[in-house]
Amino acid sequence: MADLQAEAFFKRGKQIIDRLGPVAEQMGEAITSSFQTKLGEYQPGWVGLSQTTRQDRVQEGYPADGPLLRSGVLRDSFTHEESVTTETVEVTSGIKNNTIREHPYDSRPIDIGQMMVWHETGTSTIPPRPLVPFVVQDIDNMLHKLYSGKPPEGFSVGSSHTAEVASDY
Amino acid sequence: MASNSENFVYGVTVKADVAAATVGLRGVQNALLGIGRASTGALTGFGKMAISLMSIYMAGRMAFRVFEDLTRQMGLLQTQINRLQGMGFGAKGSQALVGSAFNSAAGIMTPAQLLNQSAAISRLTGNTGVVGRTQTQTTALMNLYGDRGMAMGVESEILKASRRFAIAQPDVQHMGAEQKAMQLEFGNLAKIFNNPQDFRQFVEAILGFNATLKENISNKGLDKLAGISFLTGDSQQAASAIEDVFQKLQVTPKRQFALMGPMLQLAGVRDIKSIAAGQPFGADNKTLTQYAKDPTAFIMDVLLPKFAGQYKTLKTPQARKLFDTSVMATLGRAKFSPDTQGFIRDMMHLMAGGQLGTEYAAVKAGKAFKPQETVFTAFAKLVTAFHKLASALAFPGLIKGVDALTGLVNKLANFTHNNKAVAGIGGYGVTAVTGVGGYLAIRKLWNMVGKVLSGGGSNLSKAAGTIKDDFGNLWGDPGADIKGAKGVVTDIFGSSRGVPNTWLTRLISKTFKFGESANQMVALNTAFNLWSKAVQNSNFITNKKSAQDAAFAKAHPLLNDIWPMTGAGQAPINVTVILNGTVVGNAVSSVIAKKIINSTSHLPLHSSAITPGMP
Repeated sequence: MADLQAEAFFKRGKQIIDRLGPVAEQMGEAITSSFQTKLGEYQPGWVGLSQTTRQDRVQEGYPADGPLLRSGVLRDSFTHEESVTTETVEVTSGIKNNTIREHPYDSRPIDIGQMMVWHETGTSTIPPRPLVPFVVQDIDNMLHKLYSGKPPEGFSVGSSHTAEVASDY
Repeated sequence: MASNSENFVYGVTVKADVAAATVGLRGVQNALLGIGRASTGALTGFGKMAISLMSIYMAGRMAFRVFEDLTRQMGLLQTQINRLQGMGFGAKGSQALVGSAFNSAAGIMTPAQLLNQSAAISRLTGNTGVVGRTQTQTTALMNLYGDRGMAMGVESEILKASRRFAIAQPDVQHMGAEQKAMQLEFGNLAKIFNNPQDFRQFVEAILGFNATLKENISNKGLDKLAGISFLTGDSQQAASAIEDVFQKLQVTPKRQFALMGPMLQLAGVRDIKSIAAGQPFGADNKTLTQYAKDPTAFIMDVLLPKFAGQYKTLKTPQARKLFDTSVMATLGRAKFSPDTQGFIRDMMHLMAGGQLGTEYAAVKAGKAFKPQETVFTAFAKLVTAFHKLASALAFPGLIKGVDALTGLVNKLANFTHNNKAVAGIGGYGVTAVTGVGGYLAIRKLWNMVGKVLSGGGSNLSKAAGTIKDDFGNLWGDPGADIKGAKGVVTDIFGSSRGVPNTWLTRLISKTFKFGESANQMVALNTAFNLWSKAVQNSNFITNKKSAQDAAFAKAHPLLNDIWPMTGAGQAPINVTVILNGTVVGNAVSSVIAKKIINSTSHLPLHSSAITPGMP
């Protein structure tokens, strides 16, 4: 009897994985997009670019104002990973270890992840321009919308799924 | 399984606990509520599902038998059914009887369900009335376990669980699903732990951890008494229960008279005269119900203020010392442990305007304002009080939580002092570490200290205007109030929402004279930087995470506005922030947890594997 019950349990686990796998992938894409779309746009609290930086951007043919976005190297370095098991669904989005690219300004090799950390927290010469708080807020909004029956843009789930949740919340 | 966040140097991880969300949801929840105070320390390193299952069996004290031989245990139930049938019960009646006992042992019944089940049993046995139902329940348990001591223990667990369920108010309609979930969990258990020795080792660890708890709940009769009082609302029944307790405790008749009053008070019965007159509680029912659910509240809300009020009227040291002795003796007669006696005495002194209050008054008046020294002094006192309370009430998780808090707050205090910043810890997230016992203790302690310190009022989070909710309170809103930026508000435990006022937040905010001096503040646009450093230094969050998750559900009955961590002992979703390849913080969303749970509720919870006729 115990074996039968265990079998039922794991059968259910597989159902869950089948169901949640695509959702996890969509969430990964949505979080990555959240990071990417904030590049080049001032977020609340960000300090404006210096005059020197603005001039430099213009000389290189970019708009004068557009923090953290020139050629798109940073933006294109964001990626996501998902894992789904019977126990957890885990979605991570950000910059992976050892993501080495040419520096957007002077073509030196640079660790993009480290660079983002500097921007996130600030250094002695760079004012902090954090993304994480706003991305986390986006995630919160995504999940709220997701389970309130209003899937966010680019993030779809089954309608019966959401309706049931919405009615219970 | 390694987290995929390890592959990232910068980013965000969202993690949903599927097992928690989907398997044995209600049953596990109830079991956790039933056990209430499982060790947080012992949980580390084991699968959460397994932990939840362990809790079920602990609640019924069936651990060893079940873990050693699951099949035999299931067979035992059938044996009991067969035995009852042999005694003349019908098939359904036998199943109901054993099922009732089984469910009760597993701690998945509400008071109403318990009584309904008991009523069903009464119909089967022809025995009516509350006493009959209780006796029948015990008889059923004895039949199941073949041992009166164990049956009584289980009954005690049932009553304790029932009182907790009364707080949680689980949906009765889910009972069917709960029972089915229990069936599934048996199967899962068999898969996870197929080695009896592993079971034994783990269970022994947990039981060992809780042995102190059980022993140190000094008045063992209290639970039974309060439980019966609550369930029956019958003063005579409560009095009978007291007599029963007296017998078990071998209290002499001479002492029984002296003890009756405190015992009834602890059970929430205020009008002792009505007991003597054989009257029901009547107007006192509400009070009784309230305190029967929460005996600690009675100590904190009623007993202590009363003692403190009397103490305050005494003018001479001799009179106060005499009163101390009297209080200690009274508490001793009521079977409180020496530690608890000392704790209550100390708290009585504090509430009567003792040292902590005097100290704070000086701070408030702007005299002797030495932020760091003062916060440490005040905090040291609180920690001491916490330790006493934790020890007295035997909440190991609370002790661990206090230790962790001590280290963390010291670091935060140092950090904020050195950086001219203001820091606070928001949320009742401390519950995540300490469990429901910690929550109770903190809540009550804050109520007491709050009266001494300030009588309520402002708090750091409100002043800073930064705390929002699960996620917002980590960061505040960097752009919202840059000119009036007041400081750093953190929720290091990242847990609850909407309840940002903690004793610690208030204490620190007041001690630092928050908002009075611009040079003590730090702009919110650097808040994240400060916070992340502080948390990285604390080495706290990642180490405590599993315990946090597992303990979180136990706070649920007391955080009724936070639906639930639903079930399996954790908030199933948390958001983790990664910087420099290090997890520097996470936040748990209870609302999201609920939604995730619900989102999978349409999946079939049962299968043909459910054995017909089983409870």
